[in-house]
Amino acid sequence: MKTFRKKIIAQWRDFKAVFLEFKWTMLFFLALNFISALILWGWYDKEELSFSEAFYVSLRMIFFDIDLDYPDSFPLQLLFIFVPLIGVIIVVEGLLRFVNTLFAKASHMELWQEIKANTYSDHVIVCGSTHLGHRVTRLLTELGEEVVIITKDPESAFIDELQEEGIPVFVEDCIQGRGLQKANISKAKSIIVVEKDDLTNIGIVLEAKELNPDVQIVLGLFNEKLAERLTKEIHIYRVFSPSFLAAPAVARTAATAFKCVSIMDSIYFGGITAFIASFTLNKDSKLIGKKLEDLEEMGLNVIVFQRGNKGKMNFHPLLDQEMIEEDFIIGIAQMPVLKKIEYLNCPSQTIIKNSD
Amino acid sequence: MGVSGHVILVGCGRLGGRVAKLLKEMDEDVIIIEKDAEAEFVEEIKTETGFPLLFGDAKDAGVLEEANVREAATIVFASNDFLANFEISLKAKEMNPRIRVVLRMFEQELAESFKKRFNIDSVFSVSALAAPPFAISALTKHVIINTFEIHGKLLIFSRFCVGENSGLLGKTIQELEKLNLSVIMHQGHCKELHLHPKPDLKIESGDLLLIMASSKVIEKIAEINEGR
Repeated sequence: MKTFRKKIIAQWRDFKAVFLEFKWTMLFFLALNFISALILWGWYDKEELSFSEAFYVSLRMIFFDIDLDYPDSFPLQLLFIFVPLIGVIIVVEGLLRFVNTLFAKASHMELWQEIKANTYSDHVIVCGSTHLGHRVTRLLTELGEEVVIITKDPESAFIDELQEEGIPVFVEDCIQGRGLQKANISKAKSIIVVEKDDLTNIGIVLEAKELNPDVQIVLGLFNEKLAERLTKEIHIYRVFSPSFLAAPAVARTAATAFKCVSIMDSIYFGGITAFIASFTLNKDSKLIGKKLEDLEEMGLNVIVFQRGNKGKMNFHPLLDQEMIEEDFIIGIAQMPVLKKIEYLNCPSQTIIKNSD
Repeated sequence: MGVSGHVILVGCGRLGGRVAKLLKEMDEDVIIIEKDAEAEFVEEIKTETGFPLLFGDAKDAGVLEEANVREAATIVFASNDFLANFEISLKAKEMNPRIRVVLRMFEQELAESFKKRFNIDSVFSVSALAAPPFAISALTKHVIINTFEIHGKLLIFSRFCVGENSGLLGKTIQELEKLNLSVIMHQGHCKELHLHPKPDLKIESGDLLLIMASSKVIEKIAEINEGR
């Protein structure tokens, strides 16, 4: 079902690209037909024509299929000669380009990628077909966003897969700007820069800002200290270090000290690391009978509360509720607070290793 | 080494170093194995965590023995040499069948199939874990610090700088939280940082707020903050 949906979306993207690529050809064709029908309807002197008949006749005229008598008036004679000629030029030019486009599409040629990227606006450009770039692209397309990929690695394992799904991919070096132009950066809303080295990534940011000062930058840097410095000193706020983002989940999986509190994630802000943690009240928990506001008083920011394990998940709960056995809580706090909660929730199992 | 029930961390690079620091905060006993004694973060991690560092190849059973793998609770692979990690994880399981293995892989899909096929306790991919904040940041105009999913609901941690024309001026944290959000941190213009600020704290111009809420509420707060 998911594959079918992906195919339908890819087909729709291709159809849209073809439609937009040939919009001027179609517009000229229709305009020619309309003007010619208008003239025939108003001035043709051999017989009376309704507008729809005139339109139909002029449509046939474009293909040299004329079944009206040759007119006497000179302007109408010009019409009978030039409409088929201009029509043929438009049709042949359109057909040739259409065949060329189909060939480019079938062989994933760059021309086709450019045609598609040119139809996008408010799209997201991802620089770097790395594992992270690929994963981010997946998330964005699942959210219904239009994405263009630029990668300097022609061997990237993801290129074929993405192109099959109708996502334009350019094998270019983002830092040189040509790839960014092909990806239609002037109309993009954001660019995500996740190439494999930090220096290249910073270079790409500078290039992208030069080509479109309004584009929103999301920068991936491996060096978390450099990321912090860029945020503070150059005011690039959307800077992430992939290892930094992934580490809490890994540490949580590895941790063994907590038996009654489960560490879910962490956030780092202003030099402080706060942990998101969940716990269910045990039957011998010292928290039973206390209120949620007591937890807040201890320094835990309660974000989710579920009464008795089976109740409704309550985001931002009222804090005057008393806690009972099997209540489930998710909150944010620093480590010393969580250690205290661990002890209070499982007094018989917890071994306090240090005094904080 | 005379520890037991500890965590063995293989690899002391960017990811390994960060994991070591977090494990230190969680009060875990950790032994780190690193191939390269000259690696970039070795000194920093040694100083900051005080965890014992063994220099050598974890493929070598002697190194694993030295890290007391037979009595360890968990072994975490944070280096990016997947094949070596996989090989060592099999060896560790052989030496201690009860050990929990946390393995790093590049592809989440591949990771899931390895987890099932080879009885590995936990497999992670850095790109899969890190991707959501990148994607969400590309779609919103405000600054995203992180994202977090609870029971299918995506919560966004977003940073707001309160300007002179902000509609948030003069409101208390309690009033703000009535909009279905949590103010996680507050930093006043005099740089004092409060994790979990007091409900009656009034918001002033120049304050920095870290707010957690759904994307819809975050959008609303952004509008209020811009004075719209």
